[in-house]
Amino acid sequence: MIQVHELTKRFFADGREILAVDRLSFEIQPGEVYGLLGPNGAGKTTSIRMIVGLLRPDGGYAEVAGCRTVEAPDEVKAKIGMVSATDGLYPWLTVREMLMFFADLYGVPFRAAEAKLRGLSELLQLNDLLGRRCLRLSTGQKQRVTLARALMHDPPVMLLDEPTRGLDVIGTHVVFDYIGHLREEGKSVIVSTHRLDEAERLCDRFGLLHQGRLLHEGTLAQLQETTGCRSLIDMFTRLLRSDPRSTPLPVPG
Amino acid sequence: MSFARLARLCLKEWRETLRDRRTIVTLVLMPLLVYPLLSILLQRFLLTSLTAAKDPVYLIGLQDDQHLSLLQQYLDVGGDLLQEADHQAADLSRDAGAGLDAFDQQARVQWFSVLDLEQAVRSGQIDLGIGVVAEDEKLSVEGWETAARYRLLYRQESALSRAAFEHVRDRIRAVNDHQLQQQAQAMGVRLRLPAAIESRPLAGADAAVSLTTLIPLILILMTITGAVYPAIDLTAGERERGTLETLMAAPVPRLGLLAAKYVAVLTVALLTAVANLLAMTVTLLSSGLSELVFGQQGLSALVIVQVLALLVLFAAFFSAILLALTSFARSFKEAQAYLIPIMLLALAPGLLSLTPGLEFNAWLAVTPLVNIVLLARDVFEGTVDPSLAVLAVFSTLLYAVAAIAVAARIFGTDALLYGSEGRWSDLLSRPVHERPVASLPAAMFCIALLFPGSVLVAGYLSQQEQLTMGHRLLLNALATILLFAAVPLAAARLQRVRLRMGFRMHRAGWLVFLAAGIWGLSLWPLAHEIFLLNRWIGLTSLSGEQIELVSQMLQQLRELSPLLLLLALAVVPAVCEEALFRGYLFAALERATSGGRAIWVSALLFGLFHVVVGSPASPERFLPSAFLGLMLGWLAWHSGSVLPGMLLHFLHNGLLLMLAYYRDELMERGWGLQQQQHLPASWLIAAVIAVAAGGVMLFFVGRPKRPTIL
Repeated sequence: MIQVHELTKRFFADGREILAVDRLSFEIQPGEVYGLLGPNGAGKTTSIRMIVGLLRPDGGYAEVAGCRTVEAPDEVKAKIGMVSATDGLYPWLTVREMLMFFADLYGVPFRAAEAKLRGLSELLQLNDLLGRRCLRLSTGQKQRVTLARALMHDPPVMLLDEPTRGLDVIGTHVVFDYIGHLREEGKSVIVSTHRLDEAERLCDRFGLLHQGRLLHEGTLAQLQETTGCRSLIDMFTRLLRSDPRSTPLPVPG
Repeated sequence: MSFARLARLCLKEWRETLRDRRTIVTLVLMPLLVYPLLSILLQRFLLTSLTAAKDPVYLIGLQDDQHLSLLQQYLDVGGDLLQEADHQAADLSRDAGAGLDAFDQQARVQWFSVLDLEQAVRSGQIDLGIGVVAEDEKLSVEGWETAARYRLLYRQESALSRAAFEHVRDRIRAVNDHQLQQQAQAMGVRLRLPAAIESRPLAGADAAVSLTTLIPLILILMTITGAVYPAIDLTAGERERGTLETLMAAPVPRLGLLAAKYVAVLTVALLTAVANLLAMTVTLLSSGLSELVFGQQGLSALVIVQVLALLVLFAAFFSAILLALTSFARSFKEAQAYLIPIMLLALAPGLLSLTPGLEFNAWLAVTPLVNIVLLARDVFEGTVDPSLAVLAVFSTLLYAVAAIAVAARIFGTDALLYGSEGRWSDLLSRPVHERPVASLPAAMFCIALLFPGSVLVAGYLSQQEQLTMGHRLLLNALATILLFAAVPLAAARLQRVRLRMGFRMHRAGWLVFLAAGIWGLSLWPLAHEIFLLNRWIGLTSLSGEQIELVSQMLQQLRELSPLLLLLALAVVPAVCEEALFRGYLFAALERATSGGRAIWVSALLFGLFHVVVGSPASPERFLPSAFLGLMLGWLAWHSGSVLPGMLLHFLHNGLLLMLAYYRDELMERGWGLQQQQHLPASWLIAAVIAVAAGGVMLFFVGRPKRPTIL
């Protein structure tokens, strides 16, 4: 469903070039939750922005359901539901108005959008919030609306960038349930996070990014076997202590 | 994107904008509170200055109270004498100006007892000080015997003080003169004066005009006030709130998003302008100042409609400019920093309109912002030139389109979404991948650039009197090639547009070319009759002198080689104009909208171009050119190629040229045509049959399933 091949992105800051993503390659199948993991600045968000077509790659390509982002950006965007770490809501719209607006942006017919809204309201407990303006919502409520917004057009691919940032325990639990729901629905999901404990519980496979490069990829068992570490946290601690550029660990598969 | 979807996008932007309290403050409270307050202040100022002129109050200080009753008596009697003299003058000449002197007749005087007259006058406590000259001093100076001698003290630099001085002086003089006459009469002496003076104050003709020139300035301020906040909020604000990334991740054309935002900004600008206009109207009507501002006709319904129309135009232009500018900004603060110099810059044309005697010409008509302000001035003064008005309105709308195209290019780009991670140079960089046709914003931006360029070239060439007709034609052809072919070509290269697809250079069958050829030879009688429709609907702007000039030009053309004429006026326009209108622009329109809309819009623009790109601008050319544009557009759509249209265009222009070139010879053979006369019915029937035959041929050929690239 998602194929990323040699994806590369360079930025220029303070007069020098920074290699933000370096020949990133991976694939994700339907119904699979893929954890794109790494410390802050590893290149997770940049990779997600390139996959959705918000950033133009300097090399390589990302393909979603057979469409490449650079060649058919609108087709790719239509197939993706995105929950960004910087997601904001329109303060003066009600929750219903905002969700229906995004459904319309994605070309969902009015009646289908209403039906979808009813379903998502049940799933994310939004029924009491639908008539409320977004500026009056709490952080957790806003996150639930954001999750609902990404699903209004029922996309086959979901990209979640730091979905639990700033949430309390209950809010985080809602996100976990949500990702479980996505897996059941057969969607291909990429979760980008630096919360490794969460990722262990959520994801089927993992890609460990550091300084723009994919250093490890595989299931938890595969990674444990390759690295000799029990948890993702241990793996990362070891990685950060070593020099990743000179001693890259083998990427299975 | 469908209109229904665009309307829903607009609905969201309206909700988001009109529910925001800050918008409401600008929209409602500004005109309801601030503007009326300013108006009241202005009104007070005007009223005060008028009152001062109509019914002044002079503060007069007197050193010696004993003279008060005497002075009051002198002033009363003197006033009566002056009034009597004034009535006699009015009887002699019943001019409105004579009445102006009456202002001073109604002056009121307030008397004060003052010890230090000089100090009181200097400090402005009183307007005039009257001192009594000592008894011995008065007798020794002039030898006249007087009851009293007064010294008047006033401030030279104060108009009111001078007026008070003149008020008292004139009355005492009148009393003295009257006394002298009576004494002379009593003595039986007839007084003989060396010279007499008669004065008549008149009202200036530009009294109202000077105030109407201020209106464009007020319009600018009104529109800007309303549009600034929503423009920032819907662009830079969207990024600051974090909604821009989500919006850009949706499969919606940027132009559609921008169009909805533009409609929202325009709506608020218009609502603000209407609210301000309402406040201004109410203030003017309630204060009775409308005549002062708008002249003798006052604030009529027509004036309000004219003001409203100008507001719409101004709002359409300025909203687009604001949106383009704020699209550059990454934050509210940055947007405000961009807007302040622009707002100051916008005031400059307003001040320009105050320049006395500034003539509104074709160059100024295509100069952004200046054109609206000067057009507004001419509307208020009732001296609008329709051709220049069309030029100004059309160019302004095109600039608005260009501004939106710029906004669509930059809104939501990497550099704006992710700050320092993107580079501004990315905005000008060529895309990595080729695109089949130009984007609509790029095509419209091209049109917006070409338009003033063409007007300026036409204006420049018409002023070069030393050029021969041949040189003029060649330069004109060169300019056409540069503007209509080279500019779109460069734009296409910059956008990595595939030239054959982007300019619709597809192959077409020989039958299509045959049909195009038939149309090229048979459409002109219909275009001619449509031209004559102008006279029927009263749309004629060409004066007799201009028609004479055209005849002279035709005469000069006949002295040139027909091949040169065909090259410059048939081949070059046919290739270049078709490449732009039915090639580059049509492809972008067709991809962004539909074939039908591409035909209509390109024909409309083609018609408008022929109106304004001429010296002088001539609205008569719109209907026939738009008709030809429709036929060419349909042919381009039906054949999937621009090439048959080039043939049609060439034959149409070439045939008309040759008819004009060989007019005398044709007249001799009895085939002569008069430009202002209908064609024979048989000709028209033949033309209709030929056009129908071409249409039938095209119908049977059908549309190509897929354009074949050459």
